[in-house]
Amino acid sequence: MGTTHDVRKRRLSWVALLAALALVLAACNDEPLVDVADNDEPDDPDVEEVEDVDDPEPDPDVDVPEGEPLKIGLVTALSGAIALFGVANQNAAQMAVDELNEAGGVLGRPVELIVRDSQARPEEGVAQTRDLILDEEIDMLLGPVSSGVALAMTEVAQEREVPFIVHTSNTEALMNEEWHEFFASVVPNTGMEARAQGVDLADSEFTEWATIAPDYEFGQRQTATFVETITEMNPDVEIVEQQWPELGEADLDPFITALLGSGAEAIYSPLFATDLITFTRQAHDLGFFDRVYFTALYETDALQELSDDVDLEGVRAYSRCPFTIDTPQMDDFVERYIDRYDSVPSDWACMAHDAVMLWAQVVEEAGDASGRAFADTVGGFEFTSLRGDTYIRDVDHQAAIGSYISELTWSDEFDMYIYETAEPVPAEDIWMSEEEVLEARGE
Amino acid sequence: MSFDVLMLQLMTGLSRAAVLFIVAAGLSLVFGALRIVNIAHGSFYMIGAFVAVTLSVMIGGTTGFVAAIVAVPLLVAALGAVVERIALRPLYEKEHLLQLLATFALLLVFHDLVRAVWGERPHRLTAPELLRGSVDMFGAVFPRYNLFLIGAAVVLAIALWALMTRTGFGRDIRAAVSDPEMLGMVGVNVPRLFTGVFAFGAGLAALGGILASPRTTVLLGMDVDIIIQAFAVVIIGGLGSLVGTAVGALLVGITFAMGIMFVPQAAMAMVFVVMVAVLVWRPYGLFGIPER
Repeated sequence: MGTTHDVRKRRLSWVALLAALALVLAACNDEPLVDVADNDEPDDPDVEEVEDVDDPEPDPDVDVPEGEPLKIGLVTALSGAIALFGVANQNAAQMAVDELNEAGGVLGRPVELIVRDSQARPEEGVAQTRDLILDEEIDMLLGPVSSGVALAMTEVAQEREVPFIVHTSNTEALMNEEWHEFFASVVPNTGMEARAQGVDLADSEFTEWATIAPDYEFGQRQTATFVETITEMNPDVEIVEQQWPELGEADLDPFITALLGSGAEAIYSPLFATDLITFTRQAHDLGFFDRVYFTALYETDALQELSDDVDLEGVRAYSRCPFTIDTPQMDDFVERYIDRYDSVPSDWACMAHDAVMLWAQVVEEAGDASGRAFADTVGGFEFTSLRGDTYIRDVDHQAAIGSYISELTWSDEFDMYIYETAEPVPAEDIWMSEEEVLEARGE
Repeated sequence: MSFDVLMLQLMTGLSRAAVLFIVAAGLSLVFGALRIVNIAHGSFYMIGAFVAVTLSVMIGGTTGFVAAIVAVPLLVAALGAVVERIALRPLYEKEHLLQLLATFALLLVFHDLVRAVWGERPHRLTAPELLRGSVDMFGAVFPRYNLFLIGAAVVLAIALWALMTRTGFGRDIRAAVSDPEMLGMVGVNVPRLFTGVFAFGAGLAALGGILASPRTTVLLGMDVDIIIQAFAVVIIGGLGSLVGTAVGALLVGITFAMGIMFVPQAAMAMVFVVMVAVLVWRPYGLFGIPER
């Protein structure tokens, strides 16, 4: 017909192309946000909204000691898909700071917590970190949730010689090529977690294994380490199927059916948070749990969200800091946390508390809050964490805290599945040897 | 690979196609009639799901779910009508790029709005007892809800076909798809028709969001996820064609499911290979209207 039509048609195809481009851009923009959510730190579970969480203002009943305060800067994700983790970080860090103040402060000085939102973006994390160091003159840096942000922040901490303790992000690169002496970690790192799973399951009755992991750096790395460990320890083990859904995939049915059709007897998965919750519900309806043995990162938030939807009795789960760990410190912490925030503490809360306490104990020991004193004292330092007495390894400042693996069991008390026993695979069995660490750093 | 596993995978592909069809049908209609590439279509999908969560929690039980399925698409359709009237109508005579930017802006606005109202945390929409659990099929078990989804999509497809071929509204839409300029000349109130079509499309997106939700998690970001796949469906099927949308949804759903089975890491890529192949063979989509 007429030329106007042709012109319009041609324009329309351009628009369609543009639309596609815009969409791809939108998708790419979104991706780093989740993508950097490296390790385990996910989209959040739980039905209530983040805004519902009690305001983690300092406890007004605490008598804060007089004097120039020591400042702790926390840069974590308070918005975005993983905000729930950041809120738990903030709640617990504030609780730890209140405890310190109640006990007379650190070096007799009050402690103050300043919290900033990284938005789970490396550049924002770096900007906030610089601001905290230059303007607020913080004495210690905590955070973040995602490893992408952590790798960016650790450089700034090194440059400014500020102690930096990670409690949620845990890429092994922080201990290896990106390591510096002002850094420490109270989280078992990605390599440790995957090796713990391999060690734990190598002598199980299962030899035909399959894996399903989110299709990005964290999922690929953990799966590769797991496969390497388990096949090395048990040569009979065979990997019969590997599935890689996108992070945030809403429909996992085709993946689950493929796993079931592969003939695997057991399945390993570093899926986490929302993805794991979706997977669990959809897998249940496909008869998955009746047919195969399954092990995955069921941490507190995911278990709370799943509640009793799906029978998880006997499923083997791994996590970093289940609140059922049997230490007097943990018992006390859980009680006070529930009191204050009306929820059991997640792994992300427990580890942030440990990070603050580690720093306080190191500073008291050194008698000096400077970065230099921290770096000189923290290697080999023995301290008490919620997970029991432990120490910081000299070579990479990794806390000797293992990966917790246990069968799940229903708890009427907490109205959720909990870890039946909370015994870790010891850190010494699963971390890289000192030689390997030095080699990874090219030393 | 045994036969029953293949059949089961085919069924999972069909349930995926069901949701895609419902959502993409709205997208395709809006494009066909209004010639607008509505990127905010995914927002209506997401808003539908979130409102349904709130409503079904308020009312509770099976009644809550049914009420959500009936009322929420109407609410979202009303929202769609307002959006069309305020944001899009002034742009019909303008550059297509402007319209595209406007719907892109709407996507961002709705995203922030949903975050402000419902927060960052994922929510859950519970299916009625009747639709939960599984049935035995091909020597394995298959989720009852997925069967419901497939059935719902078939019923909806028939209803849409009837609407398009048996009603005045449908006739006007078809006329708008094939020649919008003629429509005004023959006395149809075009602005009102456009508002109606846009609202109808928004309602379909919301319905898709509600129906998809019980199997998965309701969360921020589901808008962008669905829109990319829905676009693949309408590009394959042909923008503006209902039959094309159905065929496109089936192709995308089944290609993806089978892809997972045979080339796990390239399943989504296979969907786009199909899309590119269709575009090369028939640039206007399988059932699209060729250039005149």
